[in-house]
Amino acid sequence: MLEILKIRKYYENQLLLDDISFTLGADETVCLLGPSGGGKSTLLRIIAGLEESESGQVLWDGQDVTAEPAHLRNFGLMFQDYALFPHLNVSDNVAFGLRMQRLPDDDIRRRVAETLALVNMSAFAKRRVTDLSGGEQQRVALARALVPHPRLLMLDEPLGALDRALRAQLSEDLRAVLQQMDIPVIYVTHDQEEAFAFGDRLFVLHDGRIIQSGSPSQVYNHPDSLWLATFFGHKNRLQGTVESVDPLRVRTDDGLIACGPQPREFNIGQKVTLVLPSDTASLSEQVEGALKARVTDSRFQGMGHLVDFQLTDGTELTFFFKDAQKPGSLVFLALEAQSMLCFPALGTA
Amino acid sequence: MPSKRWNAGKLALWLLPLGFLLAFYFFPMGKIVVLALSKWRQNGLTGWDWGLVGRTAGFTFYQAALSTLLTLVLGMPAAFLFSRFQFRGKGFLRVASTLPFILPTVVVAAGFNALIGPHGWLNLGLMALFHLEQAPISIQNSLTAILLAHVFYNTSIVIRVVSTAWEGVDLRLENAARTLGASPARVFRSVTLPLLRPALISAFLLVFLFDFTSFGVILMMGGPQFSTLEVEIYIQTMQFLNLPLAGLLSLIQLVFCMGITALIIATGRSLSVPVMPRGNQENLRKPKKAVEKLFVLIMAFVLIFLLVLPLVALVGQAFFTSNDSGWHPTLQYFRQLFVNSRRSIFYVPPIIALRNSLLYALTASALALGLGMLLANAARGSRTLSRLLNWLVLLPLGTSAVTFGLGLYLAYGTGYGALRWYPLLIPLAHALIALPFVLNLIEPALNAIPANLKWAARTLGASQRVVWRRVELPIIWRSALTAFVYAYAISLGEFGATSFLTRPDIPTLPIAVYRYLTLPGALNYGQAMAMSVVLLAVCALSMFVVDRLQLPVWGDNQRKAQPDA
Repeated sequence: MLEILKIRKYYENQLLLDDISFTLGADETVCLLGPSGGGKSTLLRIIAGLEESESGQVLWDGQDVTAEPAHLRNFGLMFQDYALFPHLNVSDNVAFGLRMQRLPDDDIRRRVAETLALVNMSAFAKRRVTDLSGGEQQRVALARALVPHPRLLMLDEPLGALDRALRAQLSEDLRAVLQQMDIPVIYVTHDQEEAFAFGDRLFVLHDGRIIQSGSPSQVYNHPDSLWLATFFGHKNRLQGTVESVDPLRVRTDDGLIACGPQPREFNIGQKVTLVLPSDTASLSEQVEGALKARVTDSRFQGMGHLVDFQLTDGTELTFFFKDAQKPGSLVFLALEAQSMLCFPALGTA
Repeated sequence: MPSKRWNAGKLALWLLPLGFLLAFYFFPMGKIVVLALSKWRQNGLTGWDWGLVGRTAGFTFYQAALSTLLTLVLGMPAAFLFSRFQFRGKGFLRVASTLPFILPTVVVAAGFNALIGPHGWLNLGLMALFHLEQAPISIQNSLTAILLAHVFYNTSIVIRVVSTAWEGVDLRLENAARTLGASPARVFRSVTLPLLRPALISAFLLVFLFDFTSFGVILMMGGPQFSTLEVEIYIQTMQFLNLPLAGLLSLIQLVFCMGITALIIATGRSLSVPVMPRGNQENLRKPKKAVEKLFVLIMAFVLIFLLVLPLVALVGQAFFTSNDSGWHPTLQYFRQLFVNSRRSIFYVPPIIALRNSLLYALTASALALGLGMLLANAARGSRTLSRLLNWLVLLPLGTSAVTFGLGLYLAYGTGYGALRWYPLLIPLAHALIALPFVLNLIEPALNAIPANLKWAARTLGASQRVVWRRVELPIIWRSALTAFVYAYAISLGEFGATSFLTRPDIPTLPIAVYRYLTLPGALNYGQAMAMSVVLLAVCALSMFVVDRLQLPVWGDNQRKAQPDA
């Protein structure tokens, strides 16, 4: 069981990790989600023993391993760019960790073969790693990290270096492999879809702190902050003032908007920012409670159309629709009250 | 993280190279300083031959500046030739232009002697052709000879450094300028030249340093009337036994060399070549226009005449002998190498010099490589001790070969225990001289290994030592092998430091060549040629190994430079 206690780290005199603490259950997968450059990889390296923190502790089963050298920890780490040894072929790369354990050659051969089969790379055993495609390298790196049976597996943006189509396919394979392993996993990514797909629990890292944690759906549906709502891609915003609190209604320049229950309380007269997820609007026949808007652009996006609107006060919103809308036309938008997110306006929290 | 903390093992790895530098660099240099200061304390500013010091320093600057300019004048178009044109025989020309860089000065001197010396092919040919009594070309012992040899030596550096940069200059930039209305001359002046500036400055400083510290060339090609600081240190030590003056000259030399080296390092750090990495050979074209064809032809002719013919003449003189009936093939000069003649200037047959040289070179290159690896390893990282070592190691880089020789001679060559030390001093000096080349190849290779690879190995259970053995060493072995080969070639041909440390019973091959070259008589001359051919063959073999194994070449990562004698 991994326990991280108050890890603090500076990078070039800037606070990169600010007292990070969390625990990880026996076969739990947690995702560390956050924008690039936020210190996620640094945290993994500190846990692995590759980097020193200014303060804080790493505990395993209650024992302090902070001072233990990296090579004695038996924590597996798969790197974003895979870090395959260019001078070794596929099977020698995978065998590296087992050789460090000084296992008999027969055992090494057997386990390498098993693990390569697990990641569908048996046919590539004798290939040079420099001749492999990105996806193949990713599989080899995963096999190399898994084969020594680490106590903990850490994956640093494991799909980050792949193109979109490959990512979708390998994401499935990776999930299947991880489900077969009974070890705790820390999965680091900046991609919310990946984080939702892999994590039993989600830690969102921002400005050196874990700003929210919980199950993926919990975190996605109820982001604690305007920053996180924006990070999840919710760009539609309306400014307003609370007119009633039960039920919550907010007066905006474009009319009175009803909101579903919110995790935090508001006061009448409080200035707030409403965040409208892009899949929560529909066209309405009724004028009452709807937003009057003009279609400014409509573009095809595969599963449907992204439509840009302009409200009477000039505010621009974008929603997802199944059908295309005609630019220039005037419509009324009905908003799902249940999906609406309400935050104290910036500077007033 | 524990691996970043200093432990006993790491400290030992750090102390070992430091101890070596202290014993064999700082202590000898300290001896020189003490020597010069002791006389200073006695006599103050008076009592020195300041006229001699001024004249020598002045000439050293003058010949170095002139040689460097001439080298650039030839090297620039040659670099253009290699970086922009594809033509038949280019591979040969490239190898031929790389070879001079590692050739011993004695071989170069012997080569020019064989081509344009009084008994050189050119003179003999002209005399036969026009029935002349005397050799028509007489540049022996002249400034021209010195300049010629320096251009021969250092054109390869300009070609290497500048053509690498030129190959990298994005052709699209030049094309963009053309479409914006710039003439070819204007494109060169406004686009190409500014992009090449870092490489040009780098090449200029390097060549200047090499010419500034030139020793063998001045001694053998210039004759007694020309004296650089290096030569004067040697003369004052060996002929006049005026050690304090030699010490003073060494100090002056040290200051200048350190200054130039500091400039090289400073410019190397601040001036990265602002070019796009382009696909191989993308910028190369076949000469199509008449003017391009003419350019390629003239440049190829000049390069062959300057860089190849002296070596061909050298080989010819070693294998042929002339009498009234013409030229005849002979092996007598080579056979004579095995004979311990009673009139010999050494106590041993000349072939023993070859054995000595090969053994010294093996010891020196192993020492340089080991030391280089330790230093490169210990100097990594941001800890204070590492940074200190990084600075300390820069000092030997700015020290000339003759200064090394004098320092080691003063520190260990005289007094109690000198006899036992002596055979070790030469490989030690060679190792120190080769060290910058070794570091130049090893350091970038080590630094190019992504941190992730080492981290990956660590998380897979490898200790620091195992990471070094199983990950870093296998990745840098090519660079290490190249470093070894270069160190070997440098040691084999080293003349400046060796001339202080050699003894008649344990001569090295370059020392033997020099002695034979300065003695009268056809047999001595022939033997000098034969020994030079042996040296040439070993050096050419080294280059062949580097080329065949596709090893990196010195100058690709040009960070530091150290003159050969």
